Amino acid sequence: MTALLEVKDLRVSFFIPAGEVQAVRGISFTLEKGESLAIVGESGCGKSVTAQSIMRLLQSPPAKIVGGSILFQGKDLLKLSEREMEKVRGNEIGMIFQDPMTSLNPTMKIGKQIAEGVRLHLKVSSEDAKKRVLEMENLVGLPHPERRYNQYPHEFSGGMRQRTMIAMSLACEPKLVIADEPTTALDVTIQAQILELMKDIQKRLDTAIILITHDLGIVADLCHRVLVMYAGKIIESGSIDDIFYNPQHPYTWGLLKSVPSIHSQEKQRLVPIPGQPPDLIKPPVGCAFMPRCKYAMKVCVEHDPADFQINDGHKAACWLLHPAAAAIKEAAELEARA
Amino acid sequence: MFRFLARRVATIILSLFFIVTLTFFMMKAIPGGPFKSEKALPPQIEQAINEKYHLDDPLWKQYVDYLVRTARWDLGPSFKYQYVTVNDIIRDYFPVSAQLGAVSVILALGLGISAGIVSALKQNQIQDYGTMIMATLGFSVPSFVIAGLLQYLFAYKWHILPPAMWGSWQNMVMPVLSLATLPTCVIARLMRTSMLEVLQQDYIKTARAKGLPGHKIITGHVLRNAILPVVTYLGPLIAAIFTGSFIIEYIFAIPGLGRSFVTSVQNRDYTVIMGTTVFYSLFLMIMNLIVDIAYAIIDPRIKLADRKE
Amino acid sequence: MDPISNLLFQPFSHKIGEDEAIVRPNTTYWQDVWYRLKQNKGAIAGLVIVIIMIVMAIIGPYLTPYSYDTQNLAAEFTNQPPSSEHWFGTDDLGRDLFTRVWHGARVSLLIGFLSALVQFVIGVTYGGISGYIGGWVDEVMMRIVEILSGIPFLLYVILLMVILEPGLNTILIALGVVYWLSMARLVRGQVLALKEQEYVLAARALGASQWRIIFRHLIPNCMGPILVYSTLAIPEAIFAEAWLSFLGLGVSAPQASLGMLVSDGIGAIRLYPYQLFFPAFFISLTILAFNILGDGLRDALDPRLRK
Repeated sequence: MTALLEVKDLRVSFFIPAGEVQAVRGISFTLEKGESLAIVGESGCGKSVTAQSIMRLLQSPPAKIVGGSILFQGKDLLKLSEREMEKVRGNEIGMIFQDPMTSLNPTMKIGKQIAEGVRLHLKVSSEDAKKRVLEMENLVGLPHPERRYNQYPHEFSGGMRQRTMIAMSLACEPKLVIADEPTTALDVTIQAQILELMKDIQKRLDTAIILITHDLGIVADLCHRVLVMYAGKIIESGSIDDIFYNPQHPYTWGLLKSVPSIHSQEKQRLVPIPGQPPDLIKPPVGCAFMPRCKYAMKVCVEHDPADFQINDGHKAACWLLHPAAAAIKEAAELEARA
Repeated sequence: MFRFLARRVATIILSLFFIVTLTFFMMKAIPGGPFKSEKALPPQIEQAINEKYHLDDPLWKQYVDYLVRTARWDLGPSFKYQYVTVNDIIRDYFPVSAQLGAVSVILALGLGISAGIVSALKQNQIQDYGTMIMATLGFSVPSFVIAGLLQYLFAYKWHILPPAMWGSWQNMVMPVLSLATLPTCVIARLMRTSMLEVLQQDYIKTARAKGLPGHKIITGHVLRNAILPVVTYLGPLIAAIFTGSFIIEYIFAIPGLGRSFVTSVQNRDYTVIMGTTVFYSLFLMIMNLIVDIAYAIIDPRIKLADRKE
Repeated sequence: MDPISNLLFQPFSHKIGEDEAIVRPNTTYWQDVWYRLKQNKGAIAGLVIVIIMIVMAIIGPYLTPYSYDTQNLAAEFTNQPPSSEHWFGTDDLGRDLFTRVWHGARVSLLIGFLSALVQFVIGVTYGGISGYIGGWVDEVMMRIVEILSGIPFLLYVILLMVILEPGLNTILIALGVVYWLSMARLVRGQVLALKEQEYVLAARALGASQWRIIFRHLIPNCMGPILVYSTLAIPEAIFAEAWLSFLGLGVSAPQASLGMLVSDGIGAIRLYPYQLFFPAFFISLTILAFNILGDGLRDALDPRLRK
């Protein structure tokens, strides 16, 4: 059975006056129907660029998809014309953006904004569209759907606006929804509600979800699998259990250590990862994480790590996993995962 | 809405009061009376004139009289032309100015908005540079220079259009072009900047993510938001057109209120100066009020109760 | 790929978290602004033209043997087209137009700069005080501005001109007194925003007086938009003066401003178009140059608007 989404060796660069910034440097992953995948990483690691590339929403100067393929239900999205792509957007793939305050048109009624996609793709009458919109409002938990239909975004709270964005993205029952930092701009309590909502919707509609976030903390409840990105590459990927209970890459160790956990010991320190990600206008020759890695070896300076399979579905790109590094790795793991 | 209207009307009345007072005392401050420029008048005639125009009354009485009469919209008789009142002058000449002004505003809006949209959509390409260069040029050449040039070329050199007067559509071409040039350029630049800004907004990204094709995004999402700064400019636009019309009417000998105002200034015809000033101020303030209401209709975020700058 | 030597699997000692990243040299805000301005060819052209106009306004009248009011009523000297003795021709009183144009430029530029200065002083003071003190003082001051805004400017300038004796000083007073409103609003808005910033709090904690805070801290930081506004106020004043000249309310003859020359030129347009051409060209050029410069400054101060 073909996977729902198959990304192969995707490369995306930004061409600015100072040169070429290689934002995404060859990533590959697959997504099955109904599965939910988290892409986790710091700002600037390329996760948002990846998400927007799937939808081909990047501004074409200065961004450019310079290589790879994105197969959605067997079709390569990168080879479609703009008109064909418009039929996919909103219809087969939906997207939720980060900032609900600015992502809605302030001068258009909420109902109309949700209905737009429905009328465009499903070609129904305006009454049918309205019915569908009210259904969606109910689905996402907006109270008083009739009244809300005629209101404007500025009359909604942040949480309600994000629910509206979710309703918009699901209106045409897409097979895949990409959520780009959907909870970053919201209060913590609202965050929890939105995540609950997304989990609920996924169960009901069997939609595949790609969740982009920098916060490992929100990933566990909602997602089946995790991709950890750094400096434009995937440095570790696996199931939720793999990543949380058996992480293999020093960066993943660092991420986990910097997230407060309800199981943390009292007075256990939150450890930030020192340093900054590299400037991708001059990507490093060796491992991009090396300058910040406590366990770096000479090989890390000169050679970009290959992927090492840890077990079925779990791999990481780190020289510590090479047999020759066994001794160093053991010591490192002991210390890092203490 | 009600509170807003009430507050604005109150401000208008206060402004008018201020204007009337200011104008009145400025008139009285002019060295020499309205008749001093003419040859000396025999004392009886001077006496009769003073009585007719109440020029002998104490200053405060003249002021109060004037206030009261203005409130009743009786702007008084003209000092220069017997048997003609200021109200007559306004009634006879304002419609011409209004016609000239309205056509200019419509032209400026239509042309300016279209040019701005085209420029924004073809950013940094030929159409954009060309339009913006013309816009900057048109913005800098004073309207009377344009008027003079047009008059020279089209009337005196090539004899295509009549050089002056009013009546047929041919008479309107040059005055409207002279008057509308500056506003058209301002609107074009404003619209372009506004559209470019709107196109950067997040909600346009959302619209694209829904699969909307380009033209639907422009008509459905961009335009309504981009036009807001232009609506804000409408107030100053109308004011600019009406002050600009003074000179244009003068150059083209158009029988409008602007020309009357200019002549009344040159003639020191007090009541006409005052009355026209009051009338124009009132007119502009009402126009501004209408524009503000229009803006609030277009932008649902504005709650008319508390308008912030 | 050749196999990697096992020797390489040794720890690599380095300072964790340090990068050989190239750090861009630190530039101050105004250096940045100047850099961006330089990139804008139009703005630089505008600046150059402005400088040329100023230079010519100063030395122009000295380049000919004539003075701006030397009349020569003999028929062969009046209304002459441009020639080698009179580079821009002569007017109906036999006066050399080249000299008059540059004398007029002097007058127009002077009016432009001085009005902008008056607007600056009044507007900044008023707006600065209103914004800083805030509260009901601000309310009242802004209410006054609102009421005064209801008055059509040019009407009042005309009236002022009629009352006071026509002349250079009166024009300056009239323009400055009437046009300061927008500047005041602008400054007030800026001050209101900046007031909340922390360095103001710090200054107060150190005991700085209110005046000192307004003038030494707040206003220098509003300078950007104020500078743009003042640059654009100059052509506005030149335009307004030209307008007044047209109505006969400008500087008194034999003095001339560019506007006055244009106005005379329009009268003679049928027979002697060159009398209009030269002053019209230079006044438009001046206004254009200031506008482009002002635009460029505005873009340089706020890079977001450039794309």
